[in-house]
Amino acid sequence: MSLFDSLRGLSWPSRRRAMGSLPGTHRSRLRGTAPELSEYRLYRQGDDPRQLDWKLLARSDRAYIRLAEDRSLLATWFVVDASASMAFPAESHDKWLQATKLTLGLASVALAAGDPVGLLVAHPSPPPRTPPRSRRGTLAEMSATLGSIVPTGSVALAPLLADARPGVRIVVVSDFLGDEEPTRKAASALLAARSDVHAVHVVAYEELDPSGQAIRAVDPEDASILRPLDDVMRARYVANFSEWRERTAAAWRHAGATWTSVGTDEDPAFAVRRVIGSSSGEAVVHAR
Amino acid sequence: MSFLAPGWIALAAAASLVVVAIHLIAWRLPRTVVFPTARFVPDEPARRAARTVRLADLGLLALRVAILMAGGIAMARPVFGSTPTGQATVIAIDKTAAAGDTAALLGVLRSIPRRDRTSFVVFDTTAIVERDDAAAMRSLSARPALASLSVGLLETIREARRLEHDYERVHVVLVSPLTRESFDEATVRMRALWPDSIRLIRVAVPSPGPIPVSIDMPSGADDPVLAGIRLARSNGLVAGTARVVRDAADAIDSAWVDSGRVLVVWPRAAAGAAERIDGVHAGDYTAIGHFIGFGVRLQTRSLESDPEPGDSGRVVARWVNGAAAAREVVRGGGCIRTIGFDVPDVGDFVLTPSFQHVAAELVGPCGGSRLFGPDVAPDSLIAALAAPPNAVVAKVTDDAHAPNRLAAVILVTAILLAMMEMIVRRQPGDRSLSEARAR
Repeated sequence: MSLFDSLRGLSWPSRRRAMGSLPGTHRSRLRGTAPELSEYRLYRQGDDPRQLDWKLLARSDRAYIRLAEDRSLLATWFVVDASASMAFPAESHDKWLQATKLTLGLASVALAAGDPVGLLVAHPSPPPRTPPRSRRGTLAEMSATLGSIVPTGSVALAPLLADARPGVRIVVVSDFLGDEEPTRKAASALLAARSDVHAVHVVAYEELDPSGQAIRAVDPEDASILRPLDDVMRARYVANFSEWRERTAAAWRHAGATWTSVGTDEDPAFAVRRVIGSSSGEAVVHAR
Repeated sequence: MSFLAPGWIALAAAASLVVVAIHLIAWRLPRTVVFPTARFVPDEPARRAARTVRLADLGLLALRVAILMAGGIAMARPVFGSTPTGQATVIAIDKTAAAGDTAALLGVLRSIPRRDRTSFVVFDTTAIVERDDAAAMRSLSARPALASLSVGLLETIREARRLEHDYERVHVVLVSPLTRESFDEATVRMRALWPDSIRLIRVAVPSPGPIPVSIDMPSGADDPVLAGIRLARSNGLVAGTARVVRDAADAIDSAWVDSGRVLVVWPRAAAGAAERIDGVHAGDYTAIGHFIGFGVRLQTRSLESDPEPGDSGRVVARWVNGAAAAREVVRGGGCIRTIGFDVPDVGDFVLTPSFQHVAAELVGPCGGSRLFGPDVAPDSLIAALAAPPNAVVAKVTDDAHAPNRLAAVILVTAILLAMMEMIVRRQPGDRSLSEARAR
């Protein structure tokens, strides 16, 4: 079964009220004349008399108006990291493939709900940028764009986030081994502007559990980092990397974003469900 | 299979051992791998190096050893065939040596140590190879001509080269009177064809006995030439029977020649002829003094020109400038010797020992006075014959140095293995590092 088939029927509700005015599936900040009753409010001068609930008036001798929640579209931006660290392992580029699948899987869920999706790729050669669209072929365009990219170089994610408009949904797909802190700060700013931010951390299982053979590990984005990794160093490396992941996840969650760590050996459909699941039922913590 | 230069194989084996030692002992750094989370590896020196011997290393080691051994085998020049063993001897016998004491010669030949194989080369102006003593002695019984060492050495060295294929060492022995006449300009070059030393056994050739001395000449008392000849005869310098005529020869003189004796036609110079100071070589002697030179016509040619092919004459004296001064023509049993110069009537030139020696040569027997005794070659020539040459000029038979195709094939194989080693040497870890630094 293809990835898209396994995600059919999935909905991805926004954690926050959408600010858009176009009708969609996400709860809107605007209160309008939707059929669903949301609440009653005492009539004030200036309210539309047609919203008066006459039956309640008859029962209580007080004038109340009916309020209903509107639903609107929520544009979703995907900011994908295509730096050299994503091209790991060198033979298979599993991290980049997993990031691509996660992006397309989440985009298909958003498009199924009618939400426009846009793409920003952190890549040295002019960063591909696709504005949010919901027309037919958007997913194919995203797939073609991502399929043509070979991760290389080192491009900052934070400036791409700074370009996003407030009130949208941002999904950052990265290994966060580059400018993690500036990116988190930019995400915090977006969160403060009532955007919904999801951080999807892609990690290779070789990074979680390196092989037993002694190697000299070199950072693909900084060749000056050349460290011997043998049996003695392995335990300390695992501890350091685990501690960093926990600390980073905590920082992102504290900022108000969701943090989902996905391994390259994980089924992408299952990982998409986890990302979506992390945004439902969670209390929104505003950044302070 | 055997090898012409087996030392190269030992050298290649030693180099291979060095390569094996380097592969086993050397500390190898772990391969470099691109690792995005390298920053989380503690920045400390490696506690231990990877000493595991990977299969790729063993393959590279085997390839390098194969390159060295193939190169060594190629340089060792392998040849198919059995390795020569044993020793052989080639005995070259100058036929003129048999002109003396045959028993002594046999004794000399028996004294030469015989090895696994002995060949005989009997030579004078031609050479013949015999395989046993009896055949060699039969060849020696033939009447010898004046031997040529060049001819003898050529055939001897050929025989020695043939025996080299089957025997480890070949000894060459030369039995000869080693007279001056047996040497010529080619003798030294022929000797250079054999790289090893040659054992020389010089045998004596006795003189044929006393020769009666009789010089028949006019009784002219005022003739300086005749006076010089008489003086030479009285000093014991003259040998043989000769008639000296100062005028034209007649029938009696012809009869003299036909009887197997020497007629010396020594014309007088014309009155008033110009004299000059010059020199004349005759035999081993040179007389320098006042001469009166003149051209003498011998039938259709002058005395000064050298004999043409087929001419039975030979030059017996030359001026210092190389022109012929006297010529001898064989006739019947004797010879006619014509002299192309005279001496002035005045002066004591004819009294000088040099002139007397020259005059003795000119009135000597047909063919020269050397027939009356062996003129042994100088020690320098004999030493050059015995000692190994400084450089072997060429090989008579070059079978051992024919192009070695097997060595060429092995050498090409070694080169191809070396090219393969350059490809195998490149490892994936190094490639990843270069890519990482390129980014």
